[in-house]
Amino acid sequence: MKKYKLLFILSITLSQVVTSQNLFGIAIYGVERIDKSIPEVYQSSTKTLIDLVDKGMQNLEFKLTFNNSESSYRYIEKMTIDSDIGLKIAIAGGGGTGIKYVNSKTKEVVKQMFIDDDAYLIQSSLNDINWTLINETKIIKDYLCYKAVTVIEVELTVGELTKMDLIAWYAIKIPVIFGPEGYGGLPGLILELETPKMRTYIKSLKTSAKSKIDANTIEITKPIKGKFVTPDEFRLINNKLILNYKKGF
Amino acid sequence: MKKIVFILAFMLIGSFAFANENPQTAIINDGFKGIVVINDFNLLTNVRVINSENELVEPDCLDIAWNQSVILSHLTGMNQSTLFHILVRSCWDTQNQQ
Repeated sequence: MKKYKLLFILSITLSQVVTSQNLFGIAIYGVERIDKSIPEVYQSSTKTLIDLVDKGMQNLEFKLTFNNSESSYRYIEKMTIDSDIGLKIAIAGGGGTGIKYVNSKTKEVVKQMFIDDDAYLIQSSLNDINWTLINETKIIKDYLCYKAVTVIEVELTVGELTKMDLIAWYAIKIPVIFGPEGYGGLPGLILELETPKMRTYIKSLKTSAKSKIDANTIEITKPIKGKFVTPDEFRLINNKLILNYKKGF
Repeated sequence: MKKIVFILAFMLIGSFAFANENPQTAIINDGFKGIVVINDFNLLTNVRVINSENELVEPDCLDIAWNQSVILSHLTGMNQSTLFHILVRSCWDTQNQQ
């Protein structure tokens, strides 16, 4: 009897390994503000601006392509963004136009960011994110998702880091450790990511064996254009540029 | 020429907000100092720029972008520096077109 049990467990484990070895996927994400109310104290110009940001987010899409070992996440360019300030801010809210790359074997995370016309490659590790797994579930796109939380630091005021909760909802039925915006490290694909202000949510998802997805659509790109920096170095460069603006350089 | 700009932030409407405002004189950033008024939510709601003679001056793109980036970062949770870069560029582009 014990032999049968062992055989059963072994066969399930093996089938999962085989399935996960061949897993490829494409996930399309959108971004939205969670609380769309605008306090009355704000001027009409601010209301107009935030309306433009919300409008920009309506058609905004980012594509995550992944296999078992790598993923890349990028903005899907559909319209010209040159003069659309709302769209520009909306894109930045979703992580920007740069490519976000994650490697599950090395735990390497490379986030390509742009300041004006200069490209930077921000290097970090999935191990830098300390997730707490919560026994709470919800269904997203027919997938049972589990909750995980961590704390991130955001500069709501230049030079001053503010701690903010980040919640991820991941689906263990999709056994890859990736997610939007270069986040990951959980036992399943992250389908939803939210701070108290913004939510990145899944719009569509396609997973399959390699042969069933067009090879062109599963291209996984590691960004190479840009100067390698740490997250702290990038923050300092960004802030220094702002001070230079103010000094009139 | 290095100029010192005083920035006065104030609440526009809402007696409750005014009752809870907390005026402070502070160095806002390098080269900028003035009086800021912060409400219970630590939000600047409006900024007016006055010169050393207490005359209202037309804010330049830096002031506009700074002000808007403070507000938007609190509404969206985005980094203020990221917002500032986008807003100041947009403002300069608009001015150049005029």
